[in-house]
Amino acid sequence: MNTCEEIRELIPWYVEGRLGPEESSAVATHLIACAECLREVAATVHVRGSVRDALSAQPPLPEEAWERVSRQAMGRRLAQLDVGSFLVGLRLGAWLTRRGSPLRADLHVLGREVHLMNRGKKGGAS
Amino acid sequence: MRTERRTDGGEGDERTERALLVRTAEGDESAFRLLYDRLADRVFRYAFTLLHDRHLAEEVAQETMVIVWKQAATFEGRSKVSTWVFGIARFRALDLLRKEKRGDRVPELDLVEPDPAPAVESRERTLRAIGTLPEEQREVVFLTFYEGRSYGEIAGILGIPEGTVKSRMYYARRSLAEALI
Repeated sequence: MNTCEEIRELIPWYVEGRLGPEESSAVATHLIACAECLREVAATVHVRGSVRDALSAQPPLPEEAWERVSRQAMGRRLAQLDVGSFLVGLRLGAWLTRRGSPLRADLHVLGREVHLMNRGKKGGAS
Repeated sequence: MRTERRTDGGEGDERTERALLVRTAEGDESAFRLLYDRLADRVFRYAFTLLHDRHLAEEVAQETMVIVWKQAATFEGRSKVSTWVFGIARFRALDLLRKEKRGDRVPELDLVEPDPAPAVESRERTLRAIGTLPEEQREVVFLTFYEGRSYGEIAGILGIPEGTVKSRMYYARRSLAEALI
């Protein structure tokens, strides 16, 4: 027999659907007979919804972060040529890395980036 | 701006992430970009939950992903890839928090400007309530309710007993319920 305290410690993961079958069944059985713990479930559902909503609504990691990461991780840009407009563009770049000077080409369409070519990395061209 | 919730996925996601990490370790930049797309924003939100500062959270996310690129070959496969990456991010974020406590930087509650719309107001209230929790409770709340992690996985990321995860969540949930309901 589980105590209310033991059940309440599991409720967040019960609500999240992340308990194993045995623990999930123990919680469900307990809830049939315990109105107090059932209220805890309702409160947890509310809290979970608020937390998810608030965190999901935060603006995402900016796109520029990738530029900084790739520069730090993969090397220094030697040259870059941008062709096109705000809506559609082609970017050709040469980078200096510890493993040579790879060439990279990206197509930009409405702010989305599509990699066209990445020649010169460790494992060969892609 | 609203984004899709990115949670810890199942075995298929883990297989994909392991394959991408192996290719990253071999220097495959396109694999690293795909791994970045799967993990960087989640790491950023985790760091934001801990630090409550968008700029520092960005810094943590960037540093973490650079470390992933450089250290990919050292991943031993004893945990999920995302668990390993969150562990790196946690180390960096806690380092910044330690500096904050030493007074090396001024803490800020970096939220967007107040907005009269009820939904926005409610989100602000929730973020402030999360911000008042001790950081060890904040991260458990994030990993449970945003990432959808089990208490066993959280114990693995934080390096603490499962019972401690449950008790931290118990007190966090109680504080949040008092503030939000």
